[in-house]
Amino acid sequence: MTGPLLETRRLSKSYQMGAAPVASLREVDLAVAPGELLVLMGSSGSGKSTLLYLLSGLERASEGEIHFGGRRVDRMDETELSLLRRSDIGFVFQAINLIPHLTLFENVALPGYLVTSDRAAVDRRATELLGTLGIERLAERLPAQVSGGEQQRAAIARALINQPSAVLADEPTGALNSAAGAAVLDSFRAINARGQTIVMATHEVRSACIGDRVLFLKDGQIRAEYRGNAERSSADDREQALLAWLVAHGW
Amino acid sequence: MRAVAILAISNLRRRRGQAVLVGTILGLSALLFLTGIGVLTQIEAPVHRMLEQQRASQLTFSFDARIHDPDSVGSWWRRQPDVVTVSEPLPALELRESSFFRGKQLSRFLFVTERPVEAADQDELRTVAGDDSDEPGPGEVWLPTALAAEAGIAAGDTLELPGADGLVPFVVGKIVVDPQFSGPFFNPVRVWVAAGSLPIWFQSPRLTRVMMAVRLATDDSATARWNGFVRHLGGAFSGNTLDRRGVIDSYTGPYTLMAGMIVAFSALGFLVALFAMQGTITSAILADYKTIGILRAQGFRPADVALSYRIQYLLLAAAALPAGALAGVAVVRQAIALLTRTVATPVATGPLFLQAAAVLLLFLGLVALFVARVTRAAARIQPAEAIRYGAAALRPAAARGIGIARLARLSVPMIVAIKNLGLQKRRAAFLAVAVVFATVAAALAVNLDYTFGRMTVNLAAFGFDDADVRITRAGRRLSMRHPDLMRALTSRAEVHAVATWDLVEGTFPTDSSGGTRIVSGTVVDGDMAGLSYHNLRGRNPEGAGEMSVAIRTALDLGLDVGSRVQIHVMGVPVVLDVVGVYQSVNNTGHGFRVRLEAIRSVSPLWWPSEYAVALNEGVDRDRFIAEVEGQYGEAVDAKPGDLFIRDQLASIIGGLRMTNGFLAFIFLAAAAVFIVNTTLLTIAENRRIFGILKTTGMTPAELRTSVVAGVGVQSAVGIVVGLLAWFFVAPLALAPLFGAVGLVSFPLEHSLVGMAILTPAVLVFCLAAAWLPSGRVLDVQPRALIVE
Repeated sequence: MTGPLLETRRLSKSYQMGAAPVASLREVDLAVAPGELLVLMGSSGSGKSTLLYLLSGLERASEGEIHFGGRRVDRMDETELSLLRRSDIGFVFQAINLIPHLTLFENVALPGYLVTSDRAAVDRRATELLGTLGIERLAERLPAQVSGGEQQRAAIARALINQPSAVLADEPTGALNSAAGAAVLDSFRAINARGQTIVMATHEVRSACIGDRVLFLKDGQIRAEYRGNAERSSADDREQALLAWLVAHGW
Repeated sequence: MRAVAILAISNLRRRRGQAVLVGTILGLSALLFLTGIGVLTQIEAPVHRMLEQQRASQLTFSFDARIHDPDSVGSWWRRQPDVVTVSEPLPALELRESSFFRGKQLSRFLFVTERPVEAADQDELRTVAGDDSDEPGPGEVWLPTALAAEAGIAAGDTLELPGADGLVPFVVGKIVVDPQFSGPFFNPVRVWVAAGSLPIWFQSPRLTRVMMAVRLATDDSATARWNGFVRHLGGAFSGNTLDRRGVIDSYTGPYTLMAGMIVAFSALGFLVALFAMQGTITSAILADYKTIGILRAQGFRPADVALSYRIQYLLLAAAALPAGALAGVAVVRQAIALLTRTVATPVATGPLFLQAAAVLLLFLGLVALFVARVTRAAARIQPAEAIRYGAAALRPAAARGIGIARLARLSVPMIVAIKNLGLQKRRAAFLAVAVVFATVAAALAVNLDYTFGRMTVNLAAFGFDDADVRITRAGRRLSMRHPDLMRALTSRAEVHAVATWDLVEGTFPTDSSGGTRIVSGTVVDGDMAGLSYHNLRGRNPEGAGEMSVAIRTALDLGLDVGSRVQIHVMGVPVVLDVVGVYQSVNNTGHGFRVRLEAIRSVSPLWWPSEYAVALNEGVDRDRFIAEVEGQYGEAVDAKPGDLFIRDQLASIIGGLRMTNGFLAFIFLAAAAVFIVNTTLLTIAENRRIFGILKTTGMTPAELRTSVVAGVGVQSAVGIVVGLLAWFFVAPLALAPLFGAVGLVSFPLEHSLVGMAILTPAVLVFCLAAAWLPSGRVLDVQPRALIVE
């Protein structure tokens, strides 16, 4: 594929709050290239989570277009959207959202069962992903029996089980301590290095530093784009540079 | 307190759907319970009122004036201290041949009685239709309401009665409420003709019979007075008697049985309603877990929190239960009015409202106790944990359930359904229990319907004989002797067996102090085994000194195989050994069977005239009847063997079928309400899980299927348990229920076809009940997942 994997054109979303509509996203134009790790930054209420939910078809746009691999997401019905999500999109949440009464292995494997009847193959891939993310030994534990970081890595494995075209992550380190957050970010870096497209929303500067590109959202609009981290070697340097850019754009 | 009330009402508004469902279940259970209790306790009230208004006699009896002198009988009764009035001896003739209306045989025999010219101050007749004359005119007959309603006879119609010269047309002058004989369950039934007309139309040797009635100051002394009367006669009364209890049972007996079934099932229904409520309250507390924590943090005491839930559900009960109770009053009123329509007496609503108030208070009290117990969980919530972790703080982590590796062959929605069941084990169990009740009620309706439907081909199991044809030796001018007719019938190639079934009254001692009871018995001559006279224990009588007794008579009088008892038949004592005990629904399980020799030993002139004939396999019954009547002319009267029984039992069976159908409907409706409630609660509680599944790519159809499949699994378990309960427990439960009417070993037949249809039908019903609300799962917004 030569064009963008994900693209939005004049994408808007507003919610009805009483009698008046409140705009959450306003005419956003966005393009995500295959293999890119794009970070959406913004404070709470800036519209970054809304953008992720629109991209995945979990919410309907009020106006505008969404293209995913050349297909119009905004014109799909609910079943088509479900089929798109199960095969092309993996989703990672801040609240992790593993199903509490399924083991980590079951949480990872279940979406795989939706796609293929070859369940042995799904089981093998689930085990492999858990191994890749360093939590294979915890496969038979329930979410409540492992740490937050381990839960989130299982959630990442779940997002990857069907080898999606894109992983959408909404504040994936937001509920984790710094060590666990760092491990999760390492995981994202590692899977991105293997060519996985990732769109991650965060309000943490340290987390955003892993992105190839950072979009700064404010009041439902993309205010600025940052691409300056590739040439910096030190993590602290990257963080300082991004912070300075953010402050310069009204962070 | 005001804050608590505001909180409670706002919670009720927030959960309108659930509130309506729980309220519906509560209201339905109150309606059902009140219907059962109301019918059970109030159905006799219109009958009592009618008996009082029409100054009905407590004792009505008929006898042969050649055995007991009517004048001395009358004068004995008039001497008794608490006797108010004694009727004149009224000439009465029990017709042993069928009467006809528009060419169709009446299903009941008639006791044609002469109406006295001067009306007595007792047993008043109330006219429902017809002219206002005081007595029947010549060629006129007055009919009781039940007979007229059953046969569709109106005033002015013509009825044909079997007279001396063939069928005699009588014009129906009036339809009346005859206190003792307007019940739908009585045979023979009294009809009135003009004084002096019996000898004109019915030149029968049996015109020596008279009917008398005694009105006492109170009902209580009737038994003692009757026993005194029998003692006065030297220990024996030969004739028929009808007491107050028998009269009332002839109006209401089977309905009381149905009401008993409704009460038993409605108690179970209320339990189901409480289970539903417990699930709802627990779910509400779980759903509000965080909110409760916040309220506690704002200063609400644990008791305040619990109180807010108590108020919610008590308000709900306070709205739903009165609605159910009021509806119950209307249903009971209609039901009683319908069931006692032959009494033609309005149903008093006062006692029904009192009863409704009592049921209401009882249910409200039980609900209050139950709610108080269940809502204690809300008071135990720790605010800090609740605010941080929500209901997750409450749920144990180790709810692993069946691993999906073991479910690998199932579809993903089915896997999700089975895994989710483990989340609400108790509610899943409650739903299964509701389905168990619905299945048992539906199986009861189907199989009892089948059993009663097959009753006419299985009469022997119900205590009747197995006759294909009944023949009455009827002729007067051209007759046959009993031995000749027996010989003629048994020698026919089409005939499998012949036995007589004439009735005689036997006076049994009830205690050593002279108490007696008159029991109607069957005189059998011929092949008892061939007519399928079964016994619960022992055998059929074989000689003059033996008898078998019906189970209720055996239980009431302390008789069993091996007992020896002296009874009086036709005023003559006869000692009989009990050699068998049988069950019979006839006369609600009362009766006895003796051989002809026993009766002829006390009355050598007595001969039977009723014959039950069992035909060989493949013989055309109608053709046989035509041939017999053609061969013997007016000397015999032949009719299908089940005619009388079928028509007599039609209304009882119809009532039981209606009751069972009603019960099945109520329980299926309760199960449906339960399923809808459970489905909505499951979706509401698991919004997060469904949101996750939606995000991972489950289609709307798969999500919905996972919800319905969960209910399907619970329903399937409920159906299997229900069927097992039906097959193993129902026969045990039916025995005491029907034992009251003489069927201690209920001859239940299972309808395989019915069950084969019922089983998937209940499952489809449950799935449909789940499918309708399952659409709510499509409203789940995954956006909720980013909030927490």
